[in-house]
Amino acid sequence: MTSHLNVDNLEIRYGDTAVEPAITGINLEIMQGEFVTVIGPSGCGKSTLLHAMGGMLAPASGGIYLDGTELTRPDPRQAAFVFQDYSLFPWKKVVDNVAMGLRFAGEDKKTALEKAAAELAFVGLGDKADKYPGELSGGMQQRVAVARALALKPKFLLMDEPFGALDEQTRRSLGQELTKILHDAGQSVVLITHSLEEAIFWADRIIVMKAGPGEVSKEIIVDEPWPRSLEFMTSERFENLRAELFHRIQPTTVSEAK
Amino acid sequence: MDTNTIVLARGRRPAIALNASALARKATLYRTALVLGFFVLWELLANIGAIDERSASKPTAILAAFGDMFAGNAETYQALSDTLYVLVMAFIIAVAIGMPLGLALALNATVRAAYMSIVIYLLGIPKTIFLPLFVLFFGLGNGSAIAFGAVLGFLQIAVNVVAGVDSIEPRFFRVTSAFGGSRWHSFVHVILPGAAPAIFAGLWHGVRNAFVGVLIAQMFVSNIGIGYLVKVYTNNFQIDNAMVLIIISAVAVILLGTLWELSEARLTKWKSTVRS
Ligand SMILES: Nc1ncnc2c1ncn2[C@@H]1O[C@H](COP(=O)(O)OP(=O)(O)OP(=O)(O)O)[C@@H](O)[C@H]1O
Ligand SMILES: [Mg+2]
Repeated sequence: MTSHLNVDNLEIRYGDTAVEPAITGINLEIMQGEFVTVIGPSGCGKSTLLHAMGGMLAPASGGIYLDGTELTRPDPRQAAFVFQDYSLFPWKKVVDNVAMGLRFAGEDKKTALEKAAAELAFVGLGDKADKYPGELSGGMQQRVAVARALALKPKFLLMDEPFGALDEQTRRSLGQELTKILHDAGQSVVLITHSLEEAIFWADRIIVMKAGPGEVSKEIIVDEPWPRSLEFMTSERFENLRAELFHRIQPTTVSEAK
Repeated sequence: MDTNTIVLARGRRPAIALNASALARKATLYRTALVLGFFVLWELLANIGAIDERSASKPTAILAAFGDMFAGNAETYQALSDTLYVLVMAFIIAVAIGMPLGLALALNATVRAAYMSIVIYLLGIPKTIFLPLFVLFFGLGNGSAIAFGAVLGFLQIAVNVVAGVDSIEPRFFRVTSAFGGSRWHSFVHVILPGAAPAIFAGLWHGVRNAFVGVLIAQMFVSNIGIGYLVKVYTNNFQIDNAMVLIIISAVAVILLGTLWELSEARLTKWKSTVRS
């Protein structure tokens, strides 16, 4: 059976119910194996949406459903996070960081470490298992964070601007490599980004959000076969998509859309 | 930056790279020279009468007293072992109170709101003024010294534990919960290791403060231990003997500190890998 994640008429409020919701009226369905990107102006509620999808925030109304079951607390085997700041524990060796979620889930140490080592090899860091995160470059640390999430074999991988702290070169090459291995593995991905390029390159489907309150303003299908090469980025198709997206997320267009 | 290389920029000369071990050797040499110079100067000034030998003693006399005190003087050994016992007891009690207290203050908002100000207040006031009360409660023997040392130690340990836990970035708790970790997981995988460097520092400050407390108590309200002997020797103008005990105490603290640093570096090795 293929899994699917449903966001059903979701509204999230921070604190007092009198204030405007951070996001409201969000309806989405994400299928297993699909790559979905979310883009929108700063503060429109992208992180809020992602955190809610991972069971980290309680909805004011509506809900998140995984194969029909409501997700009410974090369950990394269903949906696992990759954060922008990596958030690797500096006091744990790389392999122990990757094994962390498995240990929390109650797996014995030996099995967890074996799985962690395999996952590190999968992201190309098999030789860094015994290093501390502080000894790795930013790009490598983010690979570790991806391995940590993948170690739990999550149905959905939730990434919140995972490459925001990397330089453009690393960002592109790591993106190309990761999309390939994740896609080959049949992984479902929800990726939040500020980058137009990334939003297109990583997407089967782009969710465009607008602010005040945070809502979905448009969904754009990117009908480009996988695996994608960096040449895709210089193609005319890509340019057209980029132009469309660029206009979509301008503040003027947002107010017109209202 | 290569960790083996320290770059020194001095004046308008180009920056020079100095090997770390060469730097360490040079620093040791300089330090030894200063200490030796100090003792030589002391000896010289005492010999020409610029300082009073009867009240300030001099290195050669202290060296001679050192031999006398350890050859067949049971009193010295007794004082040393008594003091060690009192210090160890004080430290154990300080840890047993300071660690749980620190954790409770750090982790429970109500406990912190209720008691943190008291701990800070107690830490700030000069506690020697309360010494007579300790005598009333614990008598003139080891009891007072242990209790006073423990009080000075546990306050230090508690505030360091609080500071250590506070220094942990919230994102580590967020990631723990995102990966399905329980409160217990947070405690074991985040709080303890994250606060470990500060807790370690706290234990060190605790032991030093406990030692200070023990010596003060022995000096003023007890008739046992190094502190008491130092007082007796000084009152009897046996300055050489008092100096021997003072130097032993100082050297013991320095050795303990070095040992502590080495074990800390081993136990929290990850700390050196963190870039800000
Ligand atoms: N913990 C919080 N408490 C209160 N309000 C919050 C909190 N987190 C986010 N918000 C508010 O909710 C709204 C959406 O924030 P969110 O972080 O989801 O936006 P975002 O699209 O991820 O922004 P960015 O692109 O800058 O990361 C903002 O108005 C923000 O101020
Ligand atoms: Mg965000």
